[in-house]
Formats: sequence, C-alpha cells, structure tokens
Amino acid sequence: MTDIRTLLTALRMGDSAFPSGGFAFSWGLETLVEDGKVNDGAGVLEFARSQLWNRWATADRVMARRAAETACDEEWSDLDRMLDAMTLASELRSGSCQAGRALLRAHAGLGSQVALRWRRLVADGRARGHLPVVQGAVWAGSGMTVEILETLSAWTLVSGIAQAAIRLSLTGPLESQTILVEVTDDIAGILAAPPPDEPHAFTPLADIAVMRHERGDVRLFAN
Amino acid sequence: MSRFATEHGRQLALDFARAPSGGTFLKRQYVAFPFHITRPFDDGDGLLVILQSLGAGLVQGDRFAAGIVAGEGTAVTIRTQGATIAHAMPADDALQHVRLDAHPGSRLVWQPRPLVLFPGARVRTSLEVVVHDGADVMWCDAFLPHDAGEPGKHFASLQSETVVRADDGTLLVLDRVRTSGKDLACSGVAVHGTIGMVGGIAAAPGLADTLSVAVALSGAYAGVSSLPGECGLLVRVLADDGAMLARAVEDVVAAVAQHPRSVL
Repeated sequence: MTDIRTLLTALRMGDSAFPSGGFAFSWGLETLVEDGKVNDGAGVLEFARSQLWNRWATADRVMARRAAETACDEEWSDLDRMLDAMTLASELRSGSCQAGRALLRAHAGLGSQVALRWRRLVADGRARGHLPVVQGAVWAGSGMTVEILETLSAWTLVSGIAQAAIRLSLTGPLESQTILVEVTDDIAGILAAPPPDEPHAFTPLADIAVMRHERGDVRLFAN
Repeated sequence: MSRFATEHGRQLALDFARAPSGGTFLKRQYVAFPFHITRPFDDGDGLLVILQSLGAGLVQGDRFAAGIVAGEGTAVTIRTQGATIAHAMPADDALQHVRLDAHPGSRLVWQPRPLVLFPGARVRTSLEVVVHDGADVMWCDAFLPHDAGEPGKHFASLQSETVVRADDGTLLVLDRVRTSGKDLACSGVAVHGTIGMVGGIAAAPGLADTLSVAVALSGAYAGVSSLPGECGLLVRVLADDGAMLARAVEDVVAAVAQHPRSVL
C-alpha cells in the first residue's frame, strides 16, 4: 500500500500550482488546431491517447524509470543525451528542456540534493535537462516509488494537454475533466505492462505540428 | 545468417573514391543476390548509382545488409529503382540493414523508394550513418501499408531505426519507430516519410524555410526542423498516398540541391 506521505508528495507535485512551468507547452496541439487537424474534445482525447501510447509509454516512461533507478551523474547524462538525440523536433527538445529545468529550479529551491546535482550537470553542459529524466531522478530522490512517479509523469502530461485544450478554447473545464477520466484506463493499462526494453517513439502528426509551430504566426504556447 | 552469398555479412558493398581528376569513381564493389547496380552515371556533379533488386522484395527469413562508403572528397547519390515490397511473413521476419560511411569532404545521398508493407509483413529495418568532419549526408526513409486486395488486413509489425553518429562515435540522431498496420490504421497515418540531412547543410542559411515551402507544394502535411545539436535538418512528411510522398521527397531533394549555399 502506498505510504500516505508519498501520496501527498505526489499530489503536491502534480498540482498545477506547483511551479514547474508546464502551462507553457501544448506539445503540438496548438498547431494541430491551427491546421484544422484537431477541432473538438474528441480530437483532444485522441491526441492525448496518441501522446500517451506512442511517446510517453514507449520513450518517456523508459527514460524516467532508468533515471529513477540510478543515482550516477554519468548515467543521468547518458540518458539525457540519448533522449536529446531521439527528440527530432527542435521545439519538442527545447520544451522538454525548459520544463525539466523549471522542475529542477523548483526542487532545488525546496532543497532537493538530486535537483542541485542535476543543475550542476546542466550548468557544466553535461546534460540539457530533459523533462522525463529529470522527473525520474528528482521524484525518486524525493522518495517516490517507480510506480508513483510513473503515474505522476503520465498525469502531468495529460493534465497539461487538458489545460492547453481549455486555453485553446477547444474544451471547457468540465469537458477537459471528462477527457482526464477517459485516459485513466489508458494510463492504468500502460502501467500494468512492463516498459519496452528500448525506448522508441512514433507520433508523426504531433512531430510535424511542433515543426510547423516554429514557423507559425500564432504562438500562445512554446511548442 | 543470410541464405545468400555475402561478404562480411553483406550482399552489397560499394566503395567510392576520388579520382586524380577530381571526379568520383566506384573503386570497389561486391554485389550479390538480390542486388544489382546500374553502371555509375557521372552527371558532372557527382556519381549516380541506381540500386536494383532481382528478388521479389522482402520475404520471411531475409537478412539483407549493404554498406556504402563515400571516400574523401567524393560525391555520390544512390537511388533504388523501385519500392521494396514486404510480403506476408507467417513464420519469421525480414531484416535489412544499410550502413553509410561519409568520409571528410564527401557528400552522400541515400534515396531509396519506400518500403511497401503488405498484410502480414514483419520487417526490421535499420540505417546506420557515420559522418566524418566536413561530410554531408542526406537520407530518405519512407513506408506505407498496402492491403494488396485484402481490405481490413494489416502488416504485422515494423521496427525501423535510423542512427547517425559522428566518426568519434558520438550519437547525433536516433529515430526509432515501432508500429503495426493496425496501429497505423487507428491513427489515420497513411504514408510516412522522413528526409534527413547532416553536415555543413545545417549551416545553409534559409534552407529550412526553403524546404518548408518546397514540401508544402506536394500537398503533404509536413514539417521541417533542426536536428539535435544543430547537426542538420529533418523533414517529416505524412502523405495521402505514395504519389504524394514521391512528390514531397523529390521536391525536398531538388530544393536542397538547388539551394545556393548547399553542398549536397
């Protein structure tokens, strides 16, 4: 059974009030709306599911777990470099790094020794601070189990998408909550199976949207 | 282990070198079944080789490997004559591996036609690129499902991996895809293509914008972005069909070649 203190820590860090900067990113949703590829709540749900199954479950989860299972600077750097090489759209890379660094800043401010070590890695140019590996390292350092931190990582992804959908006027607050209810089974289904041995990702529609965002005229989000 | 004759596990090995005249010539070749190459054609801007397959495409148990070496100062383009058909594979998968080595000052274009995945196909494909200082490499990678007259049937699986490294082993790009025909059908993705380029091309000013305009003309949904570490550019394409994809690829390749600061 999950320790109550661990659960409270996860709730606090998954709260939108936690200063991790997640509100700045749409992960391609903004351009998909602009291009007419996503028009309503059903489209947002499909987008969230694609992000969960085809990127988070197969790449981000793998990297977060590996980062959680080590406390070695060199291994963290290697994971960060590998994720950087796998993230082929420029604004996906910069978004992942901005979010990861925002998370580091918040945890360093709260006295996390892991976050302080990570910030040195970033300052020394040994890592860029990609969000999934930072989440794994920092959240494990704060006492979370792998199961809890994976759940939190998946939750922050889909809740960020749901919030972006509201800001893009695709959904209202209640419909966004409905989307979050819908993806609960997806997250549970993903976490019920072991992660793949090798990280991989295939979200071409979102990748292209993020690439097009670089040249977009309307930019509410950073990607 | 391949069922066919190989040299160091490869059915195809082509080594290109620079002639004293400054041109590029095919210094050494090993070509075994199912591959066949045309006579290299010098178009004045480098050597063009058309790679053909004498087989029926990919069938279960195939283990094909190819290696292309562009020596210092060479200019080489390799194209395939047609798409590669991957047939149903009930008992075993098929594997094809290509390695490109681009030595200093070389420019190498690897432009195969798409992989067409028939119902039941199970394919693992990998492209390994090693880029030395001062070299430029462009590669294309595309696949599409085809039901071959069996509506509702899908290819079983595709594992595709492109790994680009610097000559010191530094990982530059890792594009690793695992998908199935059923997943693709659910996601609405029809035809998927990637055109990547690394080397001095990354520094060509305005090229990304030029490519964005060029690829849009094909009608495909596409994007252009800089690769990790600003080592190059990547174009992702989703097309309605193979013809649209072919137009997109041709438009991108032509735009790169015509760009005033391009060395490709």
